[in-house]
Amino acid sequence: MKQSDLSFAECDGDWQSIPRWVNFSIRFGYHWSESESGGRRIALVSMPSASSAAGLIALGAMIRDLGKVDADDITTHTNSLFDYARQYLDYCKNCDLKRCDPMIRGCGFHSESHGVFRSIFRKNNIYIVSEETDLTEKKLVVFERRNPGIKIEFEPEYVKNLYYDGRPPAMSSSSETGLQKSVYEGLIEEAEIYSENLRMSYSGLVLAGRAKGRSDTRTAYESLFFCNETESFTLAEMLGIHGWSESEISRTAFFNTRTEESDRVLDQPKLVVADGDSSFLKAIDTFKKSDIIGVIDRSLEREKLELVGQKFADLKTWYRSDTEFLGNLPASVPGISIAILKKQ
Amino acid sequence: MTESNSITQLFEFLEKSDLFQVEKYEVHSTKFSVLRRSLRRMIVLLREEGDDEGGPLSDRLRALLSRWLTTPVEFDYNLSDSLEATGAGAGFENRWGTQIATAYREACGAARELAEVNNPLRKKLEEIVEGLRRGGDSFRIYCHRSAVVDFQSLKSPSGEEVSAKEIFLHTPRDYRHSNTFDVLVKVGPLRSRGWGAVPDAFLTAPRFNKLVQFVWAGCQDEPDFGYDPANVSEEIRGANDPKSFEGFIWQTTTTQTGDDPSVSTLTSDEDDFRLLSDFGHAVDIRRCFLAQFGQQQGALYSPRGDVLSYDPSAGSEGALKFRTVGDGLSEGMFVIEDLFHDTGTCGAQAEEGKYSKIWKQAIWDKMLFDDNFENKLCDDGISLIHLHQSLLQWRKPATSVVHAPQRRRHFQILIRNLDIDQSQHKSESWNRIPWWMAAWNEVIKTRGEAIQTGMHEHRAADDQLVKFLESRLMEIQEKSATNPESFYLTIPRENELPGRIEFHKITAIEAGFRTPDGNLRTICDLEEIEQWRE
Repeated sequence: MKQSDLSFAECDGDWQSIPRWVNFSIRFGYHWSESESGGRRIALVSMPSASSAAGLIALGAMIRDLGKVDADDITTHTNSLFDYARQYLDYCKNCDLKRCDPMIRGCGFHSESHGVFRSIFRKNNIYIVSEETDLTEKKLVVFERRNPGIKIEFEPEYVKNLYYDGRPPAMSSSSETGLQKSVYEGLIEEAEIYSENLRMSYSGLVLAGRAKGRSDTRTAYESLFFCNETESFTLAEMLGIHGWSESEISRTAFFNTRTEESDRVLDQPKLVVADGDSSFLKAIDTFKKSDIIGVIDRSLEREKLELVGQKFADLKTWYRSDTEFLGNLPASVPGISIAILKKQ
Repeated sequence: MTESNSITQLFEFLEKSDLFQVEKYEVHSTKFSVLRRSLRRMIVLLREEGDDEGGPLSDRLRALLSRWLTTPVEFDYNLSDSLEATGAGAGFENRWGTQIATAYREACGAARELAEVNNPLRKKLEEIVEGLRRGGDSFRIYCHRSAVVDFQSLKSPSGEEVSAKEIFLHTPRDYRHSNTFDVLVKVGPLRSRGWGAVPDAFLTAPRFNKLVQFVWAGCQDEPDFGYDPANVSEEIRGANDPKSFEGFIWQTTTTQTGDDPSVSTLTSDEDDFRLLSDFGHAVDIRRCFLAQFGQQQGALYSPRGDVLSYDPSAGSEGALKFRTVGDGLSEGMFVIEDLFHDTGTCGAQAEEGKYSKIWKQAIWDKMLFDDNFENKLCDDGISLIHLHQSLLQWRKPATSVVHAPQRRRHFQILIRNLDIDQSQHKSESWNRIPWWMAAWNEVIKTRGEAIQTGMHEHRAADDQLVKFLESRLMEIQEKSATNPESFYLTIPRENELPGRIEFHKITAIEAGFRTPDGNLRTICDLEEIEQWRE
């Protein structure tokens, strides 16, 4: 499919061909993910108005990740499940606080582990971690909540089919419940999509949402539409964020800037795309080893712009300007300015 | 305000416009220059006085001058009245000395003479606005809220008034939400801070093709105006060189109008904004944010101050929280204002101090038996207008604090003039520090304790309030859904903190204000708040 076969609409506007700024933003994310080069990079993209460009950049980066064979969470997922089980058995199960409050407890966790697992193939069954679980030997033993007498020991290769509440599974139960290839075709014509990835979750890409929080970010991204000959999708749906589409899996993790919480455990994601000035400032300090792309609205008050500018200027002690990357992009769009730093 | 363009429409507009223009009118008026110069002189001299009266008066004069330089003010007798309304006036020479009085007389003279002539800036502005109307151009005027009346009073040959509300933009938010248009009119230099400040986006993200700018001679744009953190240029250009921001070119044409500056006997005009911005404010003020409620009201908050707020979009757990304006508090949330009835708590009582008992008794004695006591204090340097009332206050027994002068220097003078036989009241620290200093330490210690106690009591009340609000969360959710701007809850008498809780929806948050601490967290009219814009 060609990009010319796709249409774009904003809010209640008419369908039109994909505007230059939208194409530029998607390609920016795509090429950024393509040109991983070792040293940490930080980009600041300034837009003439409030926009959903951060979402579009994340979309481009996500399309690129769909083409990478190793871009999935399968390896880390098992560890994450055992960490969750460990937290339940060693801390949360015996915690005497009536309402979980890690700050009061001083346990160092972000949220409570209920010790509850589900299987992607039997979603209505709830499994509780059993004391018989051997965390050292990676032997996971659970019992069914409805039938506590029945204990099940999961084979290591089956563990990838489990997930815990509120988190996306590592893989979908079928190709129908994963992401749909047709949604992404044509946006980047030369992009290759590795079909298996459409069924696998990935946590290497993070979208740091707007300062007002998750629902505000989602609402903004739901007002951008793409369509091909048969279907239309919102940007929110296309991003593969857990809970924003019908897909079981998630290809983009979400960091809530307001609450400073992620929708899953994140271990040094490769790229964080930050929507807005405060999100950018928080992302730089929260994800210290990840690449960061911050998108700001430069029609904000001077004070806010200077906070961003000061942070960026401070980084220049250890980073140098990176102009190479911009050469891979389509012609710049009047009104978008970009500065990129790369760790020396 | 009309609905703003989509971002795609804005990009299309920027792509189509290959050249943006600044049409600048530099206005000269010899008499107005005299007025400016005299005011500047008064502001500087009053600041140098550095006392409790001179500083604030200097600030008021500065605000007045800034207003005159950024609005098309009519030259009439209101100029003199405004000057007197600042507090300058009768008895000026006795109070402030010859230099300031001479500048004041000069300013009054110039103001009186100006009342006889037309403001050349207004005249030119009327011509331009008329031309824009005739040409069918869509235009906006960016000005301070209080300046609207000056624009609305512009005379037009066609008799039309500049009255449409949609024409005026007052804040960066107004600008961000405006549609694209042909011409933007601005009186005053392009500055990102201070009175008449405008958003950098005028140049970096224009929503118009042409900026028509009126400045009084000498007033300059800020050198780094048009700041974009992603595009910081260190290049220095000439004033009229074309400037490039984000790929679009700005071309400036400057026209001089008004009096012929070559025939003036005065030295050339100076940049009042630059000169006065170096002074800062006399009163101790801090940087703060405006949270706007509805169209008329708002409150200022310090960037790090916790504000109890309700977020209708959050789940029940995170809806009621203390948030800071710089981090978390945002448009769409409700600020919660508690108006408690008197609960009868008295705060901490300071003990009657070792030293305060002695010096307070000494004030009683002096006020009874020394007729010249107040004059002595005055001559020695306590230059308070209400010294007598202050002394009555200082001699009162301690309550939550030990009543005493606010300033250390004043306290030292007071003790010196009380003629206390300090050898009769020696203390452990007598050999190490002077008596007055030990007494002063006692005063500030009680002040600190009072603040601490106040903080603890406040924190306890906060906790109770949050618990109460959580118990009424359903009601709050319902009320916020049906009352888009504000609503209230009543805390019944049987509660430990009876009173009323008001919820005000934040329609906008804006940086760029500075105010004394006393003005923070107080809901008032936006017009009143405007005086604290940086």
